[in-house]
Amino acid sequence: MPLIAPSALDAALAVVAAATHQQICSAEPTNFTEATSTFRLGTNTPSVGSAGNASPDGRKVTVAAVTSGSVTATGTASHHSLTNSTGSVLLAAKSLSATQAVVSSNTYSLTAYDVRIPAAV
Amino acid sequence: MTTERLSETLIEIGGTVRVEQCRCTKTGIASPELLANSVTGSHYQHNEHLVGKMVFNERTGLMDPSKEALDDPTMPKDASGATLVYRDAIGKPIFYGEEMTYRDWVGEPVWGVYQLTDDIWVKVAEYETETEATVEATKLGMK
Repeated sequence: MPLIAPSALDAALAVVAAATHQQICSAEPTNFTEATSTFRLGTNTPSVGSAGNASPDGRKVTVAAVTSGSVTATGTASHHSLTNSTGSVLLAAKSLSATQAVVSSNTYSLTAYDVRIPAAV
Repeated sequence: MTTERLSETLIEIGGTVRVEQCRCTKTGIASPELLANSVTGSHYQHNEHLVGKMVFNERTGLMDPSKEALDDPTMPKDASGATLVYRDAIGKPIFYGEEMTYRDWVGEPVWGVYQLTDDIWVKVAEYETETEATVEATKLGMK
């Protein structure tokens, strides 16, 4: 069985954990511009924990729940994303379990979720 | 007109046009074949969560999974107990036999040209190469 050391997976997750912004989006973004502008409906500063063991395997970081993200445009949110403005890079994107209509200048909340890198197979 | 490389895959021209590597958008009929990892990538692979019919939700104005599917106790639930429904690239629940929209994460990336319109970067075109996209973006920036 091939092995990728947990420290190597953790190094990759550290890049994700360095996210400076989290967005809610009206569609799945595929790059920084789409996440932070084209599809963005709201934003907040994410809080990402340190790496730990994931289930069923691999390593993960947990992005903390959000209670007061800022809605910046009116629309229907279907995805959320993590970006790093320093490197202008989209780090991760995921669909919401349910779409949600949002109105500009309101706030939004998100439940906590994991970003996982599975073990090598 | 200034051209600034903001990252390895992002160029901004004159403050009003951007070129950035992206994934093209495709549509297809949801099926095990389309949802295979080799075609759409693992993030659309939630086959056990795919449900049947959709109904119009008068409250939200959106198409939602049928109440029958949402009430099905065998459907996977999230932490709040709500039925998990996986969604395509534009937020529509994925159903076998129905059209879904996906980003082509498996094929070669393309280069999108984005124009700043009312303070939002709007995609106006896609090109296969960075050179093509930059040439066209430069023309757009000079208009």
